[in-house]
Amino acid sequence: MAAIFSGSLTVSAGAKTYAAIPVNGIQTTGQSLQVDIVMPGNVFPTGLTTLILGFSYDGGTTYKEAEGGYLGPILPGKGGSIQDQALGFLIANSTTVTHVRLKTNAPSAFTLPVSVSAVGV
Amino acid sequence: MAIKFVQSTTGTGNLTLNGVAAGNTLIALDSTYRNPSTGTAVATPTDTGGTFTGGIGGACALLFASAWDVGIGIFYQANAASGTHTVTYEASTVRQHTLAEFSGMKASGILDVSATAKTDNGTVTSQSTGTTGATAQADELIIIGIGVAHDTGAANIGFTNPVSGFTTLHIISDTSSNIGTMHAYKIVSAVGVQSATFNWTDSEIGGEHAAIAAFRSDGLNVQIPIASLWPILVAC
Repeated sequence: MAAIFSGSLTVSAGAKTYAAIPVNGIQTTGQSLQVDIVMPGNVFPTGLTTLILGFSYDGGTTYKEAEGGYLGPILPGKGGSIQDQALGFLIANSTTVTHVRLKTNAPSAFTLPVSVSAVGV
Repeated sequence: MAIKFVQSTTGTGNLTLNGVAAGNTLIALDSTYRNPSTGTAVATPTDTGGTFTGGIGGACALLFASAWDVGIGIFYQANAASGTHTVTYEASTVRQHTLAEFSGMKASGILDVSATAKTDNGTVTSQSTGTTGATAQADELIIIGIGVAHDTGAANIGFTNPVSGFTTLHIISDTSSNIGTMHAYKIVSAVGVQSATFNWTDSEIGGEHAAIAAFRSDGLNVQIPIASLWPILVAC
């Protein structure tokens, strides 16, 4: 598994696009690639926060996107704990990803500890 | 055209795929842990870009003296519209979702056969999907899924990954604060009954619910031996 990004994002209110991350060489030719974002569930503000993972196969010119919506506050679940939230994308083995890009759209600003990782499958 | 995996996204919230090609098939899977008052089976997700059918899975498995249930639902949308599909799943306490796109499928009547199986309040380390009837045609897409909920749970229940013969779309091995989840597919090229078994190592009381569904290809993956064409070519 390869870490693409690990740290805290300052998510501002409204839509925000983060700088694309070059990931040339992260995907073995002919192999699918699973990219995952994991986030603690207790940081999401009230309302709908949207995360968008974009994948470019042409050097960052165009992006294909997957999107997850998280309706906060996220309530405690099994055992009283709040479930970690996740978003993933499986890239087909017929393509080769060159860049990964993250977008957010939040009802209010908050800090989001996040880790983005990729693993060949 | 042969069946081909195009893309998939997974997560805990609603899910969106952009750039879906017209005519492709979308598969939505929902593993969920919830109060049984939510409903007997997992509810069909909604889609801003089309309509899902299915609910393959049936009644959820019960645990904790029927105070909670755990379920799997497999849903499908043939001949999808091009563009953006935002899929909203049933609201539940803990959930894991997959939204996947495949090409090479029939435009209608794609569901062939399916099966489902569950364990209520049991202590097991495996769960079968049940066995389908024989598939109607050779080239088909097989989708499987499971939801596992345990009493205390473990950070890693030790799923056997992948399920033999399948490609994993989504796996969550944590049952302490999450729902154990596996969603997977395979493409077959011969008729026959279909089944799969999920295995893990953590043994504790809980509930498990698994399902399997076979979907028809467009039937255009026909390869004609060149030798059989030779008389025609000669005649021409």
